[in-house]
Amino acid sequence: MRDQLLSLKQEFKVIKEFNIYNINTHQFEVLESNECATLVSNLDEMDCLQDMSQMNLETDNQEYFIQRSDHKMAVLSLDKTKVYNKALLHIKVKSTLKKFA
Amino acid sequence: MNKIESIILENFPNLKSVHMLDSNVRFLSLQDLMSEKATNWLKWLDQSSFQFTDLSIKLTDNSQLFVKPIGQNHNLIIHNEQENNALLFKFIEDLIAEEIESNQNHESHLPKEESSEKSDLKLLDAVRIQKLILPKKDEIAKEFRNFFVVHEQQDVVGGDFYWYSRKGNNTLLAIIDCTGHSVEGAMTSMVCNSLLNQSIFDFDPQNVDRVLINFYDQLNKYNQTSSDDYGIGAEIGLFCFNHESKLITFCTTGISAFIKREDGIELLKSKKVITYENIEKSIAKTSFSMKNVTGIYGFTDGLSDQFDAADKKKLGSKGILKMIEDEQDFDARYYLSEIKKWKGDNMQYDDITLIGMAI
Repeated sequence: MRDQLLSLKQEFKVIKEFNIYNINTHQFEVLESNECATLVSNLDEMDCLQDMSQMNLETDNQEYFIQRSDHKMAVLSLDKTKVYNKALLHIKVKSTLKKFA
Repeated sequence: MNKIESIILENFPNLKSVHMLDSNVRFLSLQDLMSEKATNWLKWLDQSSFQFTDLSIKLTDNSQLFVKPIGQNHNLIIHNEQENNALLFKFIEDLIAEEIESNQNHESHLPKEESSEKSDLKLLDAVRIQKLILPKKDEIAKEFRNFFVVHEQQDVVGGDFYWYSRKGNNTLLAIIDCTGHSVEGAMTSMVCNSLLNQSIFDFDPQNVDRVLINFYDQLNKYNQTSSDDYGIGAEIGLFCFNHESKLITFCTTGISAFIKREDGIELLKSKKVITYENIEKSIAKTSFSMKNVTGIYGFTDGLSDQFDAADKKKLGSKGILKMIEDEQDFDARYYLSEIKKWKGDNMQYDDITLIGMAI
């Protein structure tokens, strides 16, 4: 799993963190730092995760992208200063996540 | 209804709902106006202290929720199911920037507003990035006696692009028309450019159509990763000039081309029905000798489908043929001026690409 995440991070330099969250166990399976943890646990507490398949959130200096599969979620923090192919990143994150299901 | 709400609804009438909320009004007050899937998100928005500038959530019922704080005192919240998200985003970004600028100018006669400048800069970045995928014209021109490109996007970015590669004794040149135009087309063009670069890994001059088969195989794989019905697509016209056998091969899935010979001009058309699942049978393939060929003109349907100044008649392949027959100069300037004459003050309906190669 970590090899695949690493290769995706190498392909997309925009990815600062790639975390994997298990919606059933409410635990992170991969957590690079606590940066995204507060946001995700807050969303989980409010039962938002069941009703979403994808989320993009931008702040002044940060960007977050969340992609959900059946029971797992990819939680990415992105470097807002870098340009990247958004459609391609979304497709690749989705297919990577499917491999972990 | 608020002015911004009504402008958005006028332009995107199929939106489920648009609300400009005062920041002291709870998001949950919209609960009955939105799908049940949005309820927990409305609660979260009320309780969250997260300072975001843009939020977009794709819900499991395939609808989309957008939330954008406007200034200090308002939040714009949109629920969408049918409208094109990329166009909607761009429209809202421009609208908000314009609105803030006009308010500021009205109140304090200040110069251009910061968010409008930011929006312009983002757009310039998009234009710059899309230009990166276009090959250098000088490099292509070395391959032919003469060469020109007319590449007129309907918007600042678009879905048409051209592509070039050299494989041994073979010059490969393609015209690509991606689904959609503007932002949607531009994003698709970035994916298609990568796929095309990957599709020549096993290039064989005897089977030029293999490049397109590889391309659509990969495109199908991408489209299968999507859980909804949305997919991307592209029409391609690929020319292969084999400098050893002096043969030209043209493979197409929607791009047409005129071949000018000393004794006349021939139109090469694609097949009428293109199915990605059965792509081998959908590709029209022609090979012919370079001998007697003086010029080749490939074009996207944005050119043939362009309406005249009276908005009554399409240029059609006959109109393009007339331009070629009356050709005064083999250059982009002549064709651009002819297209402008045809279009007059009418709007440009689609991205337009016309490539000319003199052999």
